[in-house]
Amino acid sequence: MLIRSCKIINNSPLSENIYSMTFECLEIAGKFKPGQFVTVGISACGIQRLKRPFSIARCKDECVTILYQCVGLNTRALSECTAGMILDVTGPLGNGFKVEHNSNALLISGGVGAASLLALAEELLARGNSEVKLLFGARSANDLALRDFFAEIGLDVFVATDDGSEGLHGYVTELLDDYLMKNKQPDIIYACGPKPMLKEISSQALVKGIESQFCLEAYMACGLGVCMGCAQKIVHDGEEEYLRVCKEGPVFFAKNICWD
Amino acid sequence: MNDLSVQIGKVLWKNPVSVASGTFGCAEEMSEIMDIGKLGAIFAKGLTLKPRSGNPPQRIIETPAGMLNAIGLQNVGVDEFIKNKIPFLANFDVPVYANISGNSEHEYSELAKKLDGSGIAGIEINVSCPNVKKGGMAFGLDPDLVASVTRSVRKSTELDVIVKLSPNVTDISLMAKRAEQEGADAVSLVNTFMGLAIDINQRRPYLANNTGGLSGPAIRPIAVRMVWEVYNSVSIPIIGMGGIVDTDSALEFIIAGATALSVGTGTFYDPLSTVKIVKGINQYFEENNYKKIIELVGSLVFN
Repeated sequence: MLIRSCKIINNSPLSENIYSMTFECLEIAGKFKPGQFVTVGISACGIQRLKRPFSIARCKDECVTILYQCVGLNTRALSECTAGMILDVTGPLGNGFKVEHNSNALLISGGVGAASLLALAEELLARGNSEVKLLFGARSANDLALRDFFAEIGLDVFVATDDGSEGLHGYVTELLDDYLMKNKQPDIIYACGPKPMLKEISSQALVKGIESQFCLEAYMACGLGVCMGCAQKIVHDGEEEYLRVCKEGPVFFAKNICWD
Repeated sequence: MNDLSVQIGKVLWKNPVSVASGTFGCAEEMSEIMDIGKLGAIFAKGLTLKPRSGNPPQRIIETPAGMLNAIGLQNVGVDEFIKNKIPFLANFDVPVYANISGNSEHEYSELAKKLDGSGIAGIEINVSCPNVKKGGMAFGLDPDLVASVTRSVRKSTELDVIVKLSPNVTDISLMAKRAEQEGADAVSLVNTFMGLAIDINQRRPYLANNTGGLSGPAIRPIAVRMVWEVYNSVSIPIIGMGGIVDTDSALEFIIAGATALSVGTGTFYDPLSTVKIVKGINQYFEENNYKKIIELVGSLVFN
């Protein structure tokens, strides 16, 4: 865990409200594992705002890239930052995915959740896992900006859109149904996206006995493990407790997650 | 470095900058990123007799210049704290205060008895947590209950006793006076203000607990005013807090009458803010030729 002031190298829109931001940080780039995140604040913004958590999408050439969607005041302010500006960055935070060798891995993303799977996909491929596929869910064909990152690194990507404007007309969970019927059962599922999507994937995976790891999102105040704000109910050996998404997570085994 | 030390009860702090309970855990995580030894004191995460799992999420929401929280006193319980947290906290040559919450006077005194002789510097009585159904703030809104809880804890320990006051009252100085009369060594104020933030699309509160405690710069002017009122009502030291994020805001509290201060939400904005504030106060001393913090305490020149 490092606290650094980082210079923005690039911050550009990929679609109407999805952005890619790259900033310099040799140390975070050097320590990062897929599934980990950073919290980002804007020094120059004047008023006090909490830093926001973003999955690290990729680390390359001493730089860190995050892919984010504008949803509120903070991400809007972030989208208005330009190259050369300085960010307050803490990271890398949390525990990443547990990556298996030579497994037949299925990645599933909902919306901008794909951001936390990109580095994982690269790592899986680098380790010689040839059978890595991505099921990519989005609202419409306009929201497929992140898909191209996966296609570029050679992943087979299957798309579902809520409005049917591209790929399967429906949720990515329906795409999963379809995929499991037609293909060899994956050894492992890695997923990131909205809670209802993850809950549905969890139940499908449990029925089929597929191990799953989910990268969770949560509201956070500190990101450091001290405020207890990002609690997620987790069950271990029949005992339920609130664990911190920022510290024990953000990646949890699906079988341990309690869905409310 | 100037002598920034302050005396709180029997305990000498090396500087007036502490961290507020519930915003620093038990220092384990923070020790990875900062020099804990630079702090004046640590108020550890709030404790109850038995471990508590806390409130369901969503537990926090950012609001203008602040945040609402309803954590619900998630904690490991006093026994685990004594066994596994105090040994770590003892590594830093910084006085440590345990913050205690109970559902009854009896629970407060049981907590105090267990903590007596555990190696900590003192006990902060939390009668002001707005986020638990029983106990907590219920004690802090009634002057007679503030008095009786303070009395029970005072009788149960030789350690310094600090009463953390709720701002959700008409006259906070009355609460401070009752705490002082019952033998409190200091008061800390303010805890959070009870607030409500609404998701207009769902027409529901953002927080699962519905209401939460408001902290951050949004509450600072009210907190400073309350410190000034309490300063004029009691002679025990005040530990001031409420939206301190930098040196200037820290000094406001001291000038209003606080002998020491706590940073809470400020740590979330900038985990190193406490260390920066210590440096900043030192610089202010040099520029203005002050020798001791106490010269500045309550030095407000009222118009």
